[in-house]
Order: sequence, then C-alpha cells, then structure tokens
Amino acid sequence: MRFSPTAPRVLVIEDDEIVASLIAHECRKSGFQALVFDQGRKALLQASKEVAAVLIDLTLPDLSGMDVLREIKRQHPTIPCFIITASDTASSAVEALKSGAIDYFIKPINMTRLMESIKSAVASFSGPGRSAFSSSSGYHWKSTLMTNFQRLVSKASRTSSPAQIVGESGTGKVELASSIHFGSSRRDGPFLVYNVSTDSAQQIEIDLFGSDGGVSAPMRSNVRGKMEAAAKGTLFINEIEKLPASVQWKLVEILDTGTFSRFGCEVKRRLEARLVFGASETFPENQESSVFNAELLSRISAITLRIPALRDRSEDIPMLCEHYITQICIANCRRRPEISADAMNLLVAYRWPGNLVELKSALERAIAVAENDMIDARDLPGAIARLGQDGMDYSPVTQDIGGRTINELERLSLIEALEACNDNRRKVADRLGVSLRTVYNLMDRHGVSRDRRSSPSTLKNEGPQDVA
Amino acid sequence: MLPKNSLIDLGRLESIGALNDPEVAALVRCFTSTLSNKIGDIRAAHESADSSSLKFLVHRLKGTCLTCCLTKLGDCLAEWEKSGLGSEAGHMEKIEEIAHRSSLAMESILADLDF
Repeated sequence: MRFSPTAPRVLVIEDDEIVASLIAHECRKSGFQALVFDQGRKALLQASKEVAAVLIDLTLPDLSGMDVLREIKRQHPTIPCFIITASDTASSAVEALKSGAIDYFIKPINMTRLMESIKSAVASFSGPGRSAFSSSSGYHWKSTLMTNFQRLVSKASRTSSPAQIVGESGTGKVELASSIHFGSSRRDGPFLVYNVSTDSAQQIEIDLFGSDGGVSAPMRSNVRGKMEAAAKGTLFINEIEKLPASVQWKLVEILDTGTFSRFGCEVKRRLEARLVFGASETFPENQESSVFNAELLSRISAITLRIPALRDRSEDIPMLCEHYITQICIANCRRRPEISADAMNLLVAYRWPGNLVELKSALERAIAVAENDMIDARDLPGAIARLGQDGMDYSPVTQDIGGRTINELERLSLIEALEACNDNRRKVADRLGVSLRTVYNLMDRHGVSRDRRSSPSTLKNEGPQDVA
Repeated sequence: MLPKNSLIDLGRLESIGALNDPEVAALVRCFTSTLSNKIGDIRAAHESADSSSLKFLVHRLKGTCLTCCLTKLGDCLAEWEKSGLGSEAGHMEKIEEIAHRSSLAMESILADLDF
C-alpha cells in the first residue's frame, strides 16, 4: 500500500527497531501512517489530538511504558492506547488495562489481531458506542445539565427495563440509545433501530414482530422481525408518537407478558431484547389522550431520559466541537484543523435549532472549506456566519448587568413572557426562543407553579421557595 | 505443509508474511545478520556484571527473537531471564550456540525465497 500522509496516525513506541519496523509495516498495510519512536519522552511530545492510536512497549530505555501510557491518557483521554511487551506477567497486564490501555499484546505479537484491535478502536471514534454520551468517551461536561444527565444515562445502562428517550430533533436520540446499549451488559448483543416511518399497522407489526408466512400474512416465507433479531441486545423504537393504536396495545401486552407473536401466528416467543423508545421533545404533551395509549406510556416512562437541547448547554459546545472534529477528520483521513476564537464565539452564540446534527453538519462543512488548518468564521454555514456580520460582539458576556444577577433577569423574563402570553407555555417558548421543555425547567427552577394559569397576576409574588 | 524446524517457527514466519512479503523478509534478514552483535553486547554486559544492562538487553532480544520467529533462542533467553540471569548453568554459552545455529537456519530459509 502506498504511503498516505493523510492516513490516520499511529504512534509506535518501541525501542527495538526490527519489531518497530515490522509493526509499522503492518500499520501501513492496514491503511495507517506509522510514526516510530524509540524513546518515551520523544513520543510524548508527538502525542496529540491528531493521533488515532498509540502502541507502547512496556520496557523503554528512558521511561517505563506504563508511565508513558498514564501520561498520554492524562493529556488525551480519548486516544486508544495498546501495550506491547515481552513480559507475560498478569500483574502488568492488569495494571495496563487499569491505566487505560485498550488491549495488551505479548510478543510474539499476533499482527492480525493487533491490527484488528487498532482498526476497531479507531473506527469506534465514529462507530457505535463511542458517542459524546458514552461514559467511556472521557468527556467531562462543563454544564451541570449534562453532568447530571450523564449520571442518568449510566443508571439507565445498568438495567434491562424499558426506557424512553425524549428530545428535540437532532439531539442524538439514536446516539444516546446506542450509548445505553454499549454501556450495558448487553453490549455484545445487537443494537437495532426501528424508525416508525409508516402508518400501516400491519407493516409495522411485520417489521417489529416478524411474519410466519401464513394465510393471513402478506408474505410467503417466514420473516424475522426486529424483536427477534435484537435478541440479547437492544431494540430502539424511534418516533413512538407515530405508532398506530393497535400496535401500542400489542406493545403493552408484550411488556406485560415478556412474549410476542409473529404476525399471523399464535406461537408465543420470548422477548429477549431490551426495548428503548424514542419520542419527540413535546411528547406526550402534544398527544391527544385518545391517540396515545396511557397504559403504554406508564410502562415505558419509568426510565425517561430527556436530552437537553444544545442551546441550553452552550458551555458544552467547545468540547462537542472537539469531539466531532476528531471524529470527522479520522473518518475522512484529514489533518485536524483548529478553530479560531471568532468562529468559536459564533458557534457558542448560535441557537442550534437542529441541535447536535446541525452542529456536526456545520463542522463537516467548515472542515471541508477551511484553509491553512484553521476554521474561521467565514467557513461556517451562512446562518451562523451571519451572526458575526451584524456588528454585535459575540464574545462571552462579562459586562455589568445593572446590579441584577443573571438568575434574576432570567426569572423576570420568564414571568413577563408568561403574563404576555396569558400563560400559554408554547407561546412563551416561542417568545423566549427556547424549547417547551426549557420553559418547564425554568418554571421549576424559579418556583413558578405549573398550575397558575388562572391567576397570572400572582406570578410576581412567587419566589424560589415554591419549587414544584 | 512447511517442514518442521526446531529453531525457527515456520508457521509463524509464514503468518507474519516473511515468506511472501519482501519487506518483512528483509527485516528478518536484517535481524539475523545483526544477531551476533547483539549476543556480543549481552556477553559484554554479562562479563562486566552490569546487571541492569544485561536485564534490559536480554529482555529486548527475547522479544525480537519471538517476533522474528527464532523461537528456540527466544525461549532460551526467557528461561535465563526467569532464572535471574546467573552464570552458573552455562546459559551464555548455550545462547551463543543456539543463536549461531538459528542465524544459519534462518539465512537458509530466506535464501530459498524467490525475492
């Protein structure tokens, strides 16, 4: 294979030149660019965000491989590291894995397995399970909202009970469901997604439960549904607000009995998949009570994860940019660009109606058009770049706000909006430019009772002690 | 089916590509051509009782031998390392003898290749 300067970089830290050359040769054959270092200190200077993976020999002339591993994981927690060694002691293997190594290879190294491990680790930057939500992502959120949310995600991964993920469009419901699956004991099983994209109850039943090919079934042969295919894994059923009533009742029965039947078949099959459901941000507020089955809702809402909208956690945007830029550059074998301060200010100021999907798309565009390895404001999509052309200063706000705290201003804005909109929360959301969920969160945070619709004039007297 | 060789692990030699990849074959050949020097360094460290250098050199050569399929020599170095690198059991002489035979065996195998 020809050497490609844009191929993902693998650092090979190995002082024996023959072994290092053999590994480097295998790396190149597998499509990587190998950079070889015979000393730990030299390698540490090169370990950066642009590195896709690091192989470390435990015995080096200047530092111990374990120290090199710890230092790399301290500086760059998301870089996959592998240990190679001629020692076959269990204690050093355990120590390496505890220190953050993904795998441990004893000489003679099985090159095929080593390359498969590296490919798998590198691919996982953009593959399943390695999302900004996963506990293994190594990210420490700046926002309290996401720090708390991450705890809920971890708890949801530790159970097999049905769960519900609610969020605005583009907040990453599938990504979150995938993280829950890959963070759970079911991670070795399949993770399947089913989007409810048809209103044909029969088609949905066949898709989900399968068909036995009988007289009543529209298909001749037996068809396995998603529920069977996801056995021992997780099935994420997205956009459940679109489910026809008959399918909702079947799901109630399945959740109660733990069994299901293929379409047109009486034989009961055991449900071995964990079911996770996805719904839009306003669900179930926007559902007519006669449309969505309250019985089903009560069974799936015990574990409900509401993904915060991106505009409600703008302090996380720089880290998310870091995550997506790394992911995009590795997937496209590109050099990793930096982001100028102006561009970052605009990215943080923008309201992101399309949430994470829009952010990732904006960064993909910016990386494609950026020059000199620097994303500048002009490289951002029009709607974001135009923010910078209105003469406003989008650097973080630090000016005096007349003796009032942000918290006080936020409460006043909320109360004024509630009064102006006669307590119609949807209008309040539009007026304030936030999501409906955020309006509820703000009401809770500022102690504004949710059942004050009849007496809006009392709002002014409410205080934080009224928290619902 | 490859013939058996007590000094060289031919199955592994094939699996690392040394029998069909000229670059891998060249690296293995390079290693065997410098083997006597590496053994010389180990003897020097052994004779001067420089235990830290001896430990480092033996450990490193063991890893290279195992990687380049000189299995018998790798195992012999591992055994010496495990015994504490003492001189009482004639390990050094045994290693020199096996290293010499291993080099010849590997050169013979690589000489038969078409590239």
